[in-house]
Amino acid sequence: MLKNIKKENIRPTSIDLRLNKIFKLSKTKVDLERNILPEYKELNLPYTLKPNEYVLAQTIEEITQKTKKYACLLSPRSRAFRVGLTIQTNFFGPYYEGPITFGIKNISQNPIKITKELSLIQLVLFDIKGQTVPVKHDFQSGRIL
Amino acid sequence: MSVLGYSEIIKEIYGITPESIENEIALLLKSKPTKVKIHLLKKLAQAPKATVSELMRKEKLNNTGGSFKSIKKFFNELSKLGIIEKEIIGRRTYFKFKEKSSLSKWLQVE
Repeated sequence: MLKNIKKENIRPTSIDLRLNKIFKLSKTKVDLERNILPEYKELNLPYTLKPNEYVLAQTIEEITQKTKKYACLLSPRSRAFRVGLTIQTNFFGPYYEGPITFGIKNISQNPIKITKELSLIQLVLFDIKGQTVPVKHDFQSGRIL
Repeated sequence: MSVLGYSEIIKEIYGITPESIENEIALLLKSKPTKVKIHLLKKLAQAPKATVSELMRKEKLNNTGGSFKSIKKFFNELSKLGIIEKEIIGRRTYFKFKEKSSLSKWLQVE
């Protein structure tokens, strides 16, 4: 269902996920309709996120659902917003496989250092009632953009 | 729709239920485990099968005399309790976990 999980990161009703990689997006005029997207570049960790800076991040843990029984909701850990990091996450249906990509923005006035294995988000699993239908994800297997 | 709790998450990820592991731990406690014995049991769980001597050598433990005898006795007791299996090939005694052992799965988790 999930791989690369650390046993101690399993909490009463969630699993803390660890930071693996971060990516910086280039400055460009984005047009989603014409699929004009920014370029992205991997940054080395640890990295100090400047105020107002935004990066995409990927987790060490990967979703590998075989049973397709669960949906996953990602939620920021409170340690993130307490220091001024806002986390952009989404919802995963049972057909997504791969690492989890999410956004991190520093909305504080302070530079904030982020390191590999830092746990900023948690995954909550829901069991699905009823049948689902297969769907092809645009960002399957951890595609960034 | 309901949220999965700790025991369900463990069951899904590692295939372990609290009941299945409780039984094996209760049996294991009968053999008076120590830190070293549990450590070697963990190493056995990570290998398909191994002799006591091999496990001790890999962990750089003294694999002769009393230390060896004490671990061998422990493994023999565990095989009598049905926690692990014993297989004699020539002069060597190999031990291995049963395929469906929850304890083995638990010991393999890092």
